[in-house]
Parts: sequence; structure tokens; C-alpha cells
Amino acid sequence: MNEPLADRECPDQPQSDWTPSEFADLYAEHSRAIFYLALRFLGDPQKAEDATHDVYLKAFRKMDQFRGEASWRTWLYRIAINHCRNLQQSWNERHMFSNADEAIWENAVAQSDSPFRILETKELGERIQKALDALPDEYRLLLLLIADEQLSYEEVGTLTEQSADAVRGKLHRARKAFATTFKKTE
Amino acid sequence: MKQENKFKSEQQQEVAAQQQSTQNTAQEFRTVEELLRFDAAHTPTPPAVAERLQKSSAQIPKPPPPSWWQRLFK
Repeated sequence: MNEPLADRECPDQPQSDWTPSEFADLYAEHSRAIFYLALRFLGDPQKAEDATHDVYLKAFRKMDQFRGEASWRTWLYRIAINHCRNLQQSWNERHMFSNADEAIWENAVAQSDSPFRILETKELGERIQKALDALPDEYRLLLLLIADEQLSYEEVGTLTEQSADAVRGKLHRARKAFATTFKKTE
Repeated sequence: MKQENKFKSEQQQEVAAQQQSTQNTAQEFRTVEELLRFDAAHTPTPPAVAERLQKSSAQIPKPPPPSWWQRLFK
């Protein structure tokens, strides 16, 4: 049986001897997180499925370039974020779409510390998607990354190219914005 | 009369079952992160992704092994 990738020491040097079963371990460990990010960021199950496939295929091709400077999960997230952003950008260019101005959320009145009550689990995904779709891309991405307990504020900052303090500040506004839009989906 | 009582009793049972079912599915989350974690935990990766990936990765040629001098300096 193969040693789980998470327990394996990160290689200092690029490797070219990855076996399909080691790659399968990498898929088993992180594919749910990558698919979820793609699904909720892109808002389309088919696109998310394609994106997850493409992200892992890129990872498979680039595995010899992984130098252990980040965790496997962070490395995969980086590929996924770039991929999803490219897809989003080309889609937005075709449809002349833009997210709502971030300033709108500055004055949002919903209290982000009030609990979210859900009666039907089956409708939860739909409501979350609607709420996330209404947010600026940056807020959506921050919320999705910070919800992953395996990522620290520093790692989220690295992935979104900002300091951990900036992440904390924006997260406060992102939570408030989400609470506002989520309440509207009731 | 007896028939009517039986019907009422069945109706009450149905209502109670519905209430019970609603109570079972009702959830409360303190933060957005908790809500998203719950959603993520209930969102599995479609099996089709693994199947497609297996086919796609099999078509990629394996990189050649490192030459003797690369192994020497590894």
C-alpha cells in the first residue's frame, strides 16, 4: 500500500518518477476540495467537473516541477484558482459581465454574526450558490479558501497575493456581504 | 365516528412525522465558514472526473529517466 501523500516528505528536487497510484492518492486526498472550489467559484456543475479534470491533468504534467515550497493542497489550489480565473475572464469578456461594486458591500446592513438557519439541506447548495454568485470574485474566493480548515490565513494570503492581515480585513467584509445575500435567498 | 377518529389519528401522525422530519433536517450554522464546510462535505466529486482523468493521464507519455550525470548530482 502506498504511503499517503500528506505523510510523505516533500521532495527538495523535482521528481520524474511518479507512479499512477501515487497520483491516485493525490486525487483521493484533495479532489473534493478542488471540485468544491471550482463548483462554487464557477457556479456550474459541468464547468466544475471539466475544471477539476483539467486542473489534475495540469498537475500530472507538472508534477516534476513541484518543489515542496508549499503543501500539495496549496499547490493544487494555485493551479485551480488560475484555471478558474482564466475561464471566468474569457466568459466575462464574451458576456461583458461585471460583478457588483465592492463599495455596495461596505454599507451592507446584515449582521454577519447572526446564525444561518437551514430547514432543508437539499436546498442549501442552491442558496449558497445564489449568495456567492452575487459577491465580487475576490470575496467569493476568500470565503471558499478560508472555509478549508487545512489552509492558514498566510496560505490564503499567498494564494490570493496579499498579506494575511489584508485577508482578515477583507474577510470581515466578505462575511457581511455573504450574510446579506444569503438572507435574500430565503 | 370510529372511522373519523381513525382518520384524525392518521392525520395527526402524518403531521407529527412531517414536523419530526423538518426538525431532523433543520440546521443552524454560526458562521459562513461552518455553512460552507457543511456544504463541501455534502458535495462529492462526480465519479466521471476520475474516469476521464484516468484516460487522459494514460495518454501522456512518461518523461524519460534522468541521465547518469543528473543522477550523479541528485
